[in-house]
Amino acid sequence: MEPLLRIEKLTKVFRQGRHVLRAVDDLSFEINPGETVGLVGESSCGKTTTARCIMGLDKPTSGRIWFDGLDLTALSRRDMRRQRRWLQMVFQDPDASLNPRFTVRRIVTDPLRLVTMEGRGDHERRLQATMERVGIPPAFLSRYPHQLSGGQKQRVGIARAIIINPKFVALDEPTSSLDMSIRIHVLSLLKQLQEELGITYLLISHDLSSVRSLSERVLVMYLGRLVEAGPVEAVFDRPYHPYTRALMSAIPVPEPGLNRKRIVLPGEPPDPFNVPPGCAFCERCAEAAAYCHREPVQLREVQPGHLVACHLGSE
Amino acid sequence: MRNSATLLEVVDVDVSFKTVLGPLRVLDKVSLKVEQGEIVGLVGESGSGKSLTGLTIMRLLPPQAVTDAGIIRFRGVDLLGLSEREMRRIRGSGVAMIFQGIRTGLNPLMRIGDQVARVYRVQQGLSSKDAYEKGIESLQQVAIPRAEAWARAYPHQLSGGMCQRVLIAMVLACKPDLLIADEPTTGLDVTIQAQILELIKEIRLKIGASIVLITHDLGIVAETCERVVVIYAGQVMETGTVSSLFAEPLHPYTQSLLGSVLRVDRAVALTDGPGTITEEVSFRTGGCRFAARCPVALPQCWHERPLWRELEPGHGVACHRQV
Repeated sequence: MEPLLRIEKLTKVFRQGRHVLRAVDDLSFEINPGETVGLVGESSCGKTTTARCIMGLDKPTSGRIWFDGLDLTALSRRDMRRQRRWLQMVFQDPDASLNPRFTVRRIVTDPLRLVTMEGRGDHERRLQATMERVGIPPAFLSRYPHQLSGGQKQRVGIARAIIINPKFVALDEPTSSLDMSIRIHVLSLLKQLQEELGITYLLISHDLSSVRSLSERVLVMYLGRLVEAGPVEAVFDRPYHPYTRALMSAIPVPEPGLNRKRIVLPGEPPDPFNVPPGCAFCERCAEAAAYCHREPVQLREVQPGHLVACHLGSE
Repeated sequence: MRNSATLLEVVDVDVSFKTVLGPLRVLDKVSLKVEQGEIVGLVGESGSGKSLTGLTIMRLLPPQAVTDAGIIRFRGVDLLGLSEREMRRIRGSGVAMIFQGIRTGLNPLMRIGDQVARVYRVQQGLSSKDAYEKGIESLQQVAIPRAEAWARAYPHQLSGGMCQRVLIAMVLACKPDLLIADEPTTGLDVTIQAQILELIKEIRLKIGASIVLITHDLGIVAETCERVVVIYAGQVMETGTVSSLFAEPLHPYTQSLLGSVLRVDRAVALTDGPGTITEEVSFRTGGCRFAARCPVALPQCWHERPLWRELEPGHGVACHRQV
């Protein structure tokens, strides 16, 4: 199967005076049509920058982004605008991404004015169908964002993303602003939309429990680099990289008396402006050897489809 | 645990907000107990009154909120009957609180060393120099590397995890009998959250404090707390030991909370469909406030407040279904 999205050696560098920050460093991965790939990692590991590069909101420093056979990085602004209707994004903070002065109707129908050339009646029908899909009653169309609960705002954000029938949606922390009890409803909605509309998702989240339930494959990033990638069960149940292992064990499980062994990592991620030359994780890794501090790590396949960037266990 | 002394007892506390539509009862007969040395989880959704319960105990409610009735017995004294001056002596050394929002607890214009030192000066009456040295010591105790250097930093120069460590250092300086920690790990990365939760457990060992941990994360409750109080729309729905409440939730609300929880160790079936929009909560009802969302509500649930029943020692519930 031809992947819908193929990222090749994506690198995004931000400069601040003489300082260089490699927000995304040599990142490659693919997403197949209809698939959900989770992108996990802690703050400032480059998750959101990756999504912004795919959406064309940030210009990659180098690397290619192939979408449906087209290299998005080579398109002119005008051509990119035409392609963008196939790629949509649901943003992290609904309070920042929904215009407080627009009604729900305006927010959700705005994309229709920009991309399709249909008559007004079609817009209306489309709006009704979309709102029904996301579970928002018509009475809410005249409301403003501040009159909605957190879950409703996120549903509006989702409605705006899907109303123009995109092929691909980047979900940037779609549930992190929500209460635990609401998260599962929003994830169920996303799953149902995927089944009905065949949308492909990139699910960016630091909430690994959400990723576990919605994605088929998962990518783990640390300081701009991919440290582990593979099928969800493999990466969650048999994590290979010491960072992934610590990350998994750090998340509390709602079952008393399980007695899971929690790996508490020392310290915090290093200054992203000053990443060590070897493995970026070496300073917090309990198993790091001397060469981990010096030698750059390459991804290698430990099981079919399961990639790990770690010196340990390699020849 | 039942034989040990009760440190804090909140009995039928009512709190109302003054609104243009008349008083709005935001805490409705809230009762809870904290025994010596235990960690109690206070769980509920946003707007359920978790933080408000903490603020009521601290007597730090905003001016538009009024405590209408109830008793807050701390070490045998009713805090609601104390003068503001007497209450001030309780705050800090008696009950301390880590407020929600990591940076809000720190003064952005003061170096962190001075902020921790101030706690020692006020709470223990130390001289400025001694207080500063003690402050550095407690920063070291919460594992701030190169504490002397960081003591000269301002809060904006610290990461979220470090800010939370500084706040915990200030708690150590107070040596309170009871610590109320309001969402102490919200907004932190999971590996940092794990560090902070370990640190909070250490506080109990170091200074013997009891802890009320306010959170919406049932995973944190399961791994950190001994007992749990479930609150919904200002009403306590159920309390119990963590093991009995997770194994056998009695209230439909607790059941729905536990039923909708996502887990990292296995995938949870996402079969719910779009779901209905019943996030809105009615505070103006004489009955059980969960009735509007309850799948098994009875006619009396709408207008009659269910009585508190203790079905087993230590495991209580307020539900008409549990007779």
